[in-house]
Amino acid sequence: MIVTKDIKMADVVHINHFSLSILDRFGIELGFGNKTVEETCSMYNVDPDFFLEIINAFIDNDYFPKKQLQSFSVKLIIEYLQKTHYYYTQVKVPEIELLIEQMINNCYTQKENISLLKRFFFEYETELKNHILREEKVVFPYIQLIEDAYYSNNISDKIIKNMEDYSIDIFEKEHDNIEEKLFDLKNIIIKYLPQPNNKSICHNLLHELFSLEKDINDHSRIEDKVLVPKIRAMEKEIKKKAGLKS
Amino acid sequence: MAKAQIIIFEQSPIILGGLKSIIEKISIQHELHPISNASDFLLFLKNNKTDLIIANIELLKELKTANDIIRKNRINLIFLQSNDTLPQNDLHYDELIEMGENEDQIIKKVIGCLGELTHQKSNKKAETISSREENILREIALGFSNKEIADKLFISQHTVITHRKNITRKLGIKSVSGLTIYAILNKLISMDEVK
Repeated sequence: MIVTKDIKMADVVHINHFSLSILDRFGIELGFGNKTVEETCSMYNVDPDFFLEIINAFIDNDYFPKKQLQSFSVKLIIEYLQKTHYYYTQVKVPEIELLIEQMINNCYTQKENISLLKRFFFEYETELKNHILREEKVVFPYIQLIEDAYYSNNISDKIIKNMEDYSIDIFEKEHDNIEEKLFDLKNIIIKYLPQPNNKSICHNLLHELFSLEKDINDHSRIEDKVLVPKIRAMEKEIKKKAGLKS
Repeated sequence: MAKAQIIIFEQSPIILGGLKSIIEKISIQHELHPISNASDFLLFLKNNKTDLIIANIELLKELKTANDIIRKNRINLIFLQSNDTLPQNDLHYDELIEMGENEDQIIKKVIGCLGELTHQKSNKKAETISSREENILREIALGFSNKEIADKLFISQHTVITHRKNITRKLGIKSVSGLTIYAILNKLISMDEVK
C-alpha cells in the first residue's frame, strides 16, 4: 500500500505502526484527528513530498522511486539523516540498554550470560557512535560543500583540493556494515541463549532490536541509493565545469 | 538457503494477481516475479537465476531467445492454458495449468515442479558445526588471528578462512565477539579465558 497526500495521517500509523518513529523525526505529534497527510504536514511545516518518499520507502522495502527522492535538496536529506542519528543514539540505544539492565536485575538463572550480552551491545554502541561521528564530521560537511559548489558558478581550488582528498566513492567503500553485530545479537538471543526467566523483558528486547535493525537498514538504503548517486553526479559536473577530466 | 525464483509471465492483471495469491501459499521458500511484457521477461531471464516459469503459451511461443534460454538452463516450465489456446505439440513443457483448475491442483503442480529443489535442500549437510569447526571456533573466540590459528593447527590460512565461513553460515553469527559469546554459552571456552 502506498501512502499518498490525501490519505489520513492516522491511517499511516495503522498501516505500519513503526512509522511512529518517522513522524516523530519530522516533529509531527499524535492527535491529528482526521487530517490528511498533506494537512498535517503543512501544520508542522514539513515538505509533504519529501515526507511521502521517506514514509513509503520505510513502509515498503521495494518502494524506491530514486528519481523522485533525488529531486530534493541534499540539505533536506542530510537533515533527515541527522535526525535518525539522534534517534539512534539518544532514544533507541538507551532504551535497549535499559532493557538489558532490567534483564540482568530480574534474572536469577543466568546473570553472567546476560552480562555478556550487555558487553556485546556496548561494543556495538561504540561502533555505531564512531560510524555516526564519521558521517557528521567528514561525510556530511563534504556533501554540503559539493552541493554548494554545484550551484555556484565559481569553483575554487579549495574545492578541487577537497575533492582530491575525499570523494563519495571513498565513502561508499568505507561505508561499513553497521548492522552486523545487531544481527548477531538477535541470533544469539533467539537461537543460543537459554530462555531467561523474565520472558517479557526478553521479548521486548527482541522487538526493539528488530525495530532498530529495520530503521538502520532504511537509513543505509537512503544513503546508498539516494545520496551517493546524487553526489557522484554532482562531482562529475563540478569537475567538468572546472575543466578537469572526470 | 536459496529461495526458489518463480516467474509468472502473463499479460492479464487478473490472472497475474490470482496466480500470485495462490502460489504465495506454497510451503517452499520462494520469490515471485510477476512480469507482463516480453522485454522485461527476457531481461530478467538473462540476468537472474530462475527455477520455474509459469507462462501464457501464446506469449511465450513467439520468443525464440527466451525459449532457448529455458531449454539451455533446463528451467521448469508450466504453461497456462486458456480456453481459446490449443495445446502445443512442438513446445516442451513440464506441466499445464488450465483456467478451470482449483487451488489445490495448482499448488500441487507448482510444488511438483519445484520438487527437485526441495529435495536438494533436505539433502544438505546438517547445520550443526563439526568437531573440527568447534576447535577453530575456540581459537577464534580466544582472539587468535587466521595466521595464528593456521600455524597452531598445522593447516593453511585458506582452510581456516573456509572453516570460518562455514561456522558463520551455520551459526548465523558474523562478528568475532558474537562468536565468542556463542563459545562461552556452549562451554567451548570459559569466561575467564576471555578476560
